Amino acid sequence: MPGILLDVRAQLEEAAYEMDATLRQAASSAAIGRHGGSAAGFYAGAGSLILGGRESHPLLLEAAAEALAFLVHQQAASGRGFAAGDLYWTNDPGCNAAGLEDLVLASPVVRDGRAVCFVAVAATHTALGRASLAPVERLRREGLILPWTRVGRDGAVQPEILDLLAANAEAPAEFLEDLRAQIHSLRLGHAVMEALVDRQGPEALALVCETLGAGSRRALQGILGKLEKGCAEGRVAPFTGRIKAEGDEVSVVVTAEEPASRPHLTPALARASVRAALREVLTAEIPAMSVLGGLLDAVRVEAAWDPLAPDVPIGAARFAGTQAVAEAVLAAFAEGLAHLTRAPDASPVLLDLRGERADGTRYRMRLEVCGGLGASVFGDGMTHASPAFQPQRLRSVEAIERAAPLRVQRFELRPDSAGPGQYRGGLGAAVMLELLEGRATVDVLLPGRPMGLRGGMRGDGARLVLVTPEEGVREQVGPAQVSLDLRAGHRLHVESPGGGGWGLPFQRSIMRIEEDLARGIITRDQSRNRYGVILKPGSLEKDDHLTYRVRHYLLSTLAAEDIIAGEELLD
Amino acid sequence: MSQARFRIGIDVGGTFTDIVLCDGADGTLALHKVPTTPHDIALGLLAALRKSGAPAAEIAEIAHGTTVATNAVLERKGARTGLLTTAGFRDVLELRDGRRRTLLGRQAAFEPLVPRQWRCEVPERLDASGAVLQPLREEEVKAAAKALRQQGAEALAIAFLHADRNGLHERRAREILNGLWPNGHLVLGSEACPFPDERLRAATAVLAAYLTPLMAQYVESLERGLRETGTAAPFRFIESAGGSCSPDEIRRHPLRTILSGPAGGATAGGSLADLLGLDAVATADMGGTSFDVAIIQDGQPELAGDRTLEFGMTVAVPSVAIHSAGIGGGSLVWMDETIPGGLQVGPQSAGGTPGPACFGKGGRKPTVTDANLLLGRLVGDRTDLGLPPLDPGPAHQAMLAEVCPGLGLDPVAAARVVLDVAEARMVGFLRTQLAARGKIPGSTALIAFGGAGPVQAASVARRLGVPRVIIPYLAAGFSALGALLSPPARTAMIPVEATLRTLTPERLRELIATAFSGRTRGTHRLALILRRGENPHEDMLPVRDPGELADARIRRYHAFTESAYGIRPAPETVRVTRLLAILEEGSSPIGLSQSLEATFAREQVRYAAAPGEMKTSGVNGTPQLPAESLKIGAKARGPALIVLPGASAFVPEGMAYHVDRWGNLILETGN
Repeated sequence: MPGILLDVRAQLEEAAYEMDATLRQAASSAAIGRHGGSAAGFYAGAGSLILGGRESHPLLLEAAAEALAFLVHQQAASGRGFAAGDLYWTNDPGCNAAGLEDLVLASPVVRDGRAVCFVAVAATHTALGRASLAPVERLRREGLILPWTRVGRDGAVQPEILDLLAANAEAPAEFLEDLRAQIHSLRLGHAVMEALVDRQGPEALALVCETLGAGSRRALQGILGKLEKGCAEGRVAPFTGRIKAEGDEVSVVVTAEEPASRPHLTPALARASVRAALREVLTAEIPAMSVLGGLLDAVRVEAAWDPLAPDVPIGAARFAGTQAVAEAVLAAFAEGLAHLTRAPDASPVLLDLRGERADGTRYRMRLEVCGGLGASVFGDGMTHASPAFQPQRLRSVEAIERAAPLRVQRFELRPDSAGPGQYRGGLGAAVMLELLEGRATVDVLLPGRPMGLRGGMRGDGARLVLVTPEEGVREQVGPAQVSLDLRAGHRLHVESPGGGGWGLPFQRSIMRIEEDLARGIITRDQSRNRYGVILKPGSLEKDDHLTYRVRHYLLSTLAAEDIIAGEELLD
Repeated sequence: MSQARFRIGIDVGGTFTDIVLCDGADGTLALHKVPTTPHDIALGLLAALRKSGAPAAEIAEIAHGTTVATNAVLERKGARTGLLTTAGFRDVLELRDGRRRTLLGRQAAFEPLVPRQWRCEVPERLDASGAVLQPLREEEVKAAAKALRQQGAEALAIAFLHADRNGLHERRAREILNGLWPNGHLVLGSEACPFPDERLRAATAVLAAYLTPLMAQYVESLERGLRETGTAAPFRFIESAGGSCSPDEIRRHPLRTILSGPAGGATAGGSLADLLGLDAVATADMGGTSFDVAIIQDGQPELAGDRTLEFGMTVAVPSVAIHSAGIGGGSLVWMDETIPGGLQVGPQSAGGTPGPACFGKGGRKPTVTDANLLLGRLVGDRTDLGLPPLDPGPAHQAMLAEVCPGLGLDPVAAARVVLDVAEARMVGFLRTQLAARGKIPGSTALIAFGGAGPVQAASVARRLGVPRVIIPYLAAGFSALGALLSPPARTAMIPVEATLRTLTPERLRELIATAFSGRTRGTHRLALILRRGENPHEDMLPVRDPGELADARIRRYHAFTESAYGIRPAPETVRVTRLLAILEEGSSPIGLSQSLEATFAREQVRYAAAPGEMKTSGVNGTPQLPAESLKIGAKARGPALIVLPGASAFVPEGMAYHVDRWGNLILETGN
């Protein structure tokens, strides 16, 4: 058994990577090719993930498991089985898919009339969901919803169905090309799995799945067993995650304190994000868990809001809610198992710009400005990077200026934006754009401020400033979603948030603070107000004695809670 | 007989420095190995030269694949480098493209090669077409450079926005700084990387500047060392794209050596594929730490335009497209008992010191090499390398201590599982590389070399469905042989603005002429770099005939995309962004066919005269046969251990094999 298990695992690992890599190289859309919106995996007969690609989008990977479990249940309830070569798809959040733009393609491996496992590839097709930052209601009307449907046999989709979809897609040629690449990628994985089942037999494969699932459960229990009383709670507004291990059962309950603030999150997507967060924790302890599945069976996740009325997750906004859920779960580990977690990451600022040049030609451009990532007990957070659920690969300044009548006046790090802490968060960025001609409308999603952990402070928030000759300066801070009309000469100043800090700022080494000062990453003001570095009166020279005394005093009198309570005061 | 009769190829690896000596008198080759000297690569190289026994006065030429530049980047040992950018964009290196290191978990902070305080802004601005919006403020250039000099910067990169469209400001800044930056270590983005994307240009220019003083120093120390040995032989460096060039060119363009080492193996693979008449070939170079794969088509290694050297450092440098997986002979095997199937192979490696447990140098963790030794797939005798024999005792102990308890197996059975996992990873990696280029394993041959490649190749090929494996006689020194085979070449990569449909033969000829400033003598190797939509991934389309019409080129591209991606992109949407062109200004300095044949014949004669006292069977009674003892063309079947110079090859049970007249061991996997 060990030999078979290891052999199967190694083969599936490489095959899943191959599926992912193929799709990402083949796709011409930004969502898949540039932003990595795809996931490939092998799933057990009941829908649980066996193993996913190491480059797969972690949320899509788990969301596909939710959707497949729904499909298996649906087929069983209606007395329908699966046939070899069947090809199914869905993007319907009502069938537990992630969002309208996330199309899950799945194909069963059938033996004796029974689906022994599934191969699935999920990919983000903006053409399906009209992924954008426009009001949700409008997008919901415009997007295409495809419930779980058998769309092909022998691994090929019926051409009429493709034509129908293309006719309703925003960019038909690009969409069809990406869809064909997705089908090709699915076929690659399917061939590997068929060969594996032939060689090892369905029973051996079932045993492998069972063993991997049991292993995930044991690994999770092992980690949770290290928590005091086997339970923990974390909160990242507006979500609270409560983790509990009782006997053989692990459960996570997610609640949203303000129902109105979770408009883009179905319970299924929340469950998927909890599992993705748990995998992150497991991976920190056991690197092999980065690709292994089994969590669908290993943990019971309850998203405590009405599952009968799911909101349709649409556009980039769907990841903001899932990120908050995942970070609430991660925060639960901050006290008991600090080495496994991190402070929350900042979400990027997203801009969707549609404009018309002076000659009447139109253009559309989606831009992102990444924020800083959260710090951890191991060090400072990464600067200007995308959080796990929102992989990005940003355009260059030159690409922006050559594709649209925009001038980027500056694009630089944003000093003082990182959440202060013993280890500070990563820095956000500041961009200034000027519209050179014509007019444009821009929808902007400004994320909230990521909190700090263990006494670390929040990263500075997102900010948008519109400067116009007519109305002067208009400012908006995150979290917010705004829509603006621009004319030639208007300037848009965008700042992304910094990542959350970790640990009390007064514990940060003076050497690191001085390094940050030398690099211009923090200002003298922040070094004094947040880190307690005191200068000699009338000079820029540090007063070592006073600095030591102030920091020592603050450390001995303040607890992490005081820092959090005083943070707004300091702001 | 000429005074200068020896040609020498040298490859500096992580553990050994290999040297292949070609005797001009009869074309025969000889392989020698010495330990690499990481603290001063030149020392090991000169030691290898001495060991070769070639009289200094009789050396005609030395060709060298080096890892000095690569190591300098990995170890951050380059020059203190400053960067001048357009005002408002000093953080271009640090902002990157926003990607994270790994999909999940904590992300360590990123440190660019140039710290923020050494990145200075200069007021100047061009628009998207390259027109000047704001003139360069010359006084500010001087002030910034002066400040950087005062901070101790040795090299300087200048990377302004839109300089690919108009390099005027960058060139002017260099003129201004000629007096202020006397050492001349000054690199312009628009010259190092004349392509769109300020991030790529800045990263490329910075890396070139970072390496310039170091490589100049390295070239100088080598030249001095060679002079001291008494040789006046010309010296060539292997370029990342596979050709070779003079030390002067490396002083000017140090970045060209960034993948110089691995390029040698791919070059030799290409030449061997050509010699054997093989169309589609994958080369697998397996050493101690990695499994490097390159794809050869029609005798030419596939090329790449950009290279990501480490996280956040993608640079434009023409190179052989070599892809690496972190698995090699020295890859550590360990059990993660917290999960089932938690046996891990690599990516950490035991390296040269302490090395695998069987080296007997204190390594306590088992490796792939230990597993091979326990299963009798490896010849333990290393007398020809001047090293003590491999000891199965420590390998057994290491397996027993680290792996057996977790698997519940005895050491030999555990070793089998270890190799199953290692091979499954290699198979998967190779299949991914082939699939990405639309290749089918069933119509591809595998050329395996490096210390560990010949041991694993047969099993990997059989599992993957590759029908034929070729293990060169000098597999252990194949990269050094590649250095010897690389002809002098000029490499150029130039921007193109066209689509697959609009690029005419006339325009292509113009571009080729531009790339080489009108030089035409020599053999061209050309490839178009293509992009589709908003995907940053680049496809390479080799150009065999510049006169090929657009329709034919489109058909070839579609054949590739259909097999690799399952799509047929509209030609109007496929942008040709660059032309990668290599002009080989001469042929290989040695005749491969003649040299290999003469070498193998000589060794066969030598073996026949003194068969030696080598053991004739391995651990499990597997016949152990020196390659020289095999009769050319005579078919045999495994299991067998074939002993090669500095390496050994394993032939699994039932697999047909023979040697050809060049000494290549040919395995027919039965697929």
